Amino acid sequence: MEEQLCTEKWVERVAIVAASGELDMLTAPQLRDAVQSALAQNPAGLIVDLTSVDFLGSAGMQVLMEAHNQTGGTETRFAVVADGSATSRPLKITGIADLIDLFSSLDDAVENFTE
Amino acid sequence: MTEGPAGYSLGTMTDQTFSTSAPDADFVRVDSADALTVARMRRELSQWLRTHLTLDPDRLNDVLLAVNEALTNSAEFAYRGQQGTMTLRVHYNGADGALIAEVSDGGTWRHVDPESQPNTRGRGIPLMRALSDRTTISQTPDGTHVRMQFGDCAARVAAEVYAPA
Repeated sequence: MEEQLCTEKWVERVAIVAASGELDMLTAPQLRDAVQSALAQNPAGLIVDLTSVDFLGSAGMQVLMEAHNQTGGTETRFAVVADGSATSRPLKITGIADLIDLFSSLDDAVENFTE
Repeated sequence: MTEGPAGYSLGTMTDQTFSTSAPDADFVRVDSADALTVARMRRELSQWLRTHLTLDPDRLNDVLLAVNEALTNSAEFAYRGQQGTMTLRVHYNGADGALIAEVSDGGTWRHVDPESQPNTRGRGIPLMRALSDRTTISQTPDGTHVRMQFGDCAARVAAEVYAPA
């Protein structure tokens, strides 16, 4: 019943980890696992897509910051796709949006990463 | 809306929607302080807020996120692996349109100097302060009590009175 579905797909060498539902202390570990699994495959870029996330708590933000720290200074680019009250707004309020590249649509992010 | 952190302003409702006093409303839940309870209380509060108030999507999420962070701190820190309960009380004051959310537990939150934390953590309390109009956190020997106030929340009942026929 507490489902946090994370899917992984690739566009060229860019890994896209898409989450859906609620990202809180209960479900954030699943996103962490999905991010680690993608990074283990040494992608040129990692995009975490929060388009289908309807709640983002600080536990979810923690996973995003971990990915940011982990990719910093490496060849792997990192970005987050978020739009709306539940996701991009908290990322802006906390200042995370100043640290992590934020796109409002997955298409924009993929285009930016693969051009 | 009163002052907030730099660059941050809250969505406000139009004055007319609560110029007539709306009935008070209360939401109270008591349950074990754990992650499952946090998720369930948050969902139930979401339903309750949608039923009783006409918050815009930003404001609705602000209330839910602020309450989530207080509940998460109780679930994560209050009892340090021991079992305990947490209480969520939300009161809507129809006279002035204020929503008061209170989270209490019988434990003590670990005090961590924000400066000593890694950059991945420590966002809960700053979020509560940024999202609410006023946050007070009281620590007593009996537990921790968080009170967050959200002003200018319009009641659904009052809004319907003013809705065009």
